[in-house]
Amino acid sequence: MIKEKRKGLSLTASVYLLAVLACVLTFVFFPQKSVINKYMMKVTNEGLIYFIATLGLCVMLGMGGQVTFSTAGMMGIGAYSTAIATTRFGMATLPALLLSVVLGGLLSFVIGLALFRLKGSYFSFASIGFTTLLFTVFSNWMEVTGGPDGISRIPKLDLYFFQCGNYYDYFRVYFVVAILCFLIVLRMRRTSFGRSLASVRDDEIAASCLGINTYMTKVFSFVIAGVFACLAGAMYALHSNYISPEPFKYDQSAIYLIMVMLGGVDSTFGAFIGSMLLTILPENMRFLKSYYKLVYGVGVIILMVVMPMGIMGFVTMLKNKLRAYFKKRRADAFQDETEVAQDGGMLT
Amino acid sequence: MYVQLAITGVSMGMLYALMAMGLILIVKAVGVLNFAHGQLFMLGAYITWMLTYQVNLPVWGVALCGLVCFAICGAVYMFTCYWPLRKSPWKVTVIISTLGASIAIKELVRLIWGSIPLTMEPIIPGVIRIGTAYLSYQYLFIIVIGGGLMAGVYILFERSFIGKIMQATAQDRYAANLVGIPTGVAILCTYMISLSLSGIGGWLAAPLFLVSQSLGNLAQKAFAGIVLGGFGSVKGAIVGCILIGLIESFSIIITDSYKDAIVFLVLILVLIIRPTGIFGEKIAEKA
Repeated sequence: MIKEKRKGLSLTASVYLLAVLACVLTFVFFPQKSVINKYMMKVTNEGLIYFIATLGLCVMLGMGGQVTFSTAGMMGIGAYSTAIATTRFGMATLPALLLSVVLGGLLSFVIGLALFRLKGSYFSFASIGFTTLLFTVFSNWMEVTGGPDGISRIPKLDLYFFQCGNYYDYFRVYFVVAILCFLIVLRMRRTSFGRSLASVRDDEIAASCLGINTYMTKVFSFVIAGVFACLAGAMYALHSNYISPEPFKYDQSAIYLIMVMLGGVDSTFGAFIGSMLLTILPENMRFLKSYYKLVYGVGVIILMVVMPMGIMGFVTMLKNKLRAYFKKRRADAFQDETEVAQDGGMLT
Repeated sequence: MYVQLAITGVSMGMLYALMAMGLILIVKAVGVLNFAHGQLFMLGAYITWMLTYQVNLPVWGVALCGLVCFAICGAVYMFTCYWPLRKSPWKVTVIISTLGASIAIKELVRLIWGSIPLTMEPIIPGVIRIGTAYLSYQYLFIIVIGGGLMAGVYILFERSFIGKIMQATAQDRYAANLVGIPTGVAILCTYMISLSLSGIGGWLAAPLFLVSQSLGNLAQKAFAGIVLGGFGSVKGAIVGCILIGLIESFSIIITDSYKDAIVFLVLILVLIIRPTGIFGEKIAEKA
């Protein structure tokens, strides 16, 4: 059989092209007053921030299979260090943001070394402890964190060549940052680190037999998650200009986990869908009033029963089924053709 | 003062241990972390509050009806959050569904009983005088009941037929099925016992704290106790939880507001020095 050379773009290339086009269009036309109001813009920005935090979880949970509750705590580290550096020490916002990310990376390395001496469920328990510890410090260390009152008057983000004045400006900057982070995680899946992480998830003993240092692999995945969470936290502080300990609680970590599972645990794009849905949907569900959270909780259980691999997992399953169907049809058609040819051959 | 701190510490530890025992039983039976356990503990407090003040039952009636209610809750919980997901290849899906359940239970309680904390009279009112310190009888009552329950669970698991069934199911479900053990029933029993333990814990804790939705946060200490005690052993979890309670109550001497921070700091320090927990031994992993 001679393989037919397809004309024009292949399916993957056209998907990429469409994605780039969609991003550019979103960047140019979405943040306009006529398209979206100020409040919804703020909510969308928060969705982008949560997306960056869940990308870290995507690496930890989707690629590494480790359930961690440290995301909210690490976001708190990022937010508080940025806020303190800008308000107390008068640093410019960009260096403060970078400093807090570096700080978060170092801290999560040290904590990861300690926590990963535990395995599986016990690691999850200990990460809850870590988040609660941080929350206690945030809400009690009055002199530094301001206690329950939090820190206010955090300056707006200043990129030297671009000053963020309102939520529409913030969207442009955060959108670019989110795409960069997305590409980093997408690329990470194809590195040797990503593959060793996946092997640790699937079978830790087999992975160590192949010569993978499972302990350090897990620690590095924790560092990556910590860096993403810290970046998200710093962006959160600069975006809302005020922080209090409340959003960095253990309960919030559970919501990030649900975001990742909703979108599809094994998919980077799924994290985007999950975080956006869970941030924007509540705004449109106001009619449920006080029943909203109950519906939400029950919805999570039902989701896990119906779509255990999340929305993207569901899409992949559909795609595979369609592909198998078309393959079968093409194979049938090919068989008919050859049969006809053979018959023709025998006649002459 | 030290006697008082020790007694409050041990009784708080007993409350954590009741939760931790339930958690460990579920982890052993089905390998699932139950993140809704704190909320189930809170539900226990609310159910007993309802039975005492809305149905007006005497104490023994509350205990009896409460147990029945907890068992029913356990069955419902198992059939919603575990049974539909038992064949899922990813354990994480079950964990996430328990997270969903924790949100749902919290909201359900808020919708039924409101968000204003409710007060509950101690089961045995009055205070006892030890030296210069005054201590309410409730703390001693918790220690007695908690100890009794632990002994009861031990006897149930080690000496009774149903306990053997549950242990077999926990060790190897496939083999247990082959021998003819109804593993579904065994798992159901495990869930019922586990929820009854945490429900009773909620009943005991209700007079000390107010009956409110924040009772669920106590579960974090139970998690800490499990990690501190060692890997997967009920005995280790109990000792770990009592230690957590003692650390918590004695940390008042140093600081008041950083109570929780000290507990978790000690936990992380212990993990760095001895990652298997205090009583844990290195156990071979299942390949």
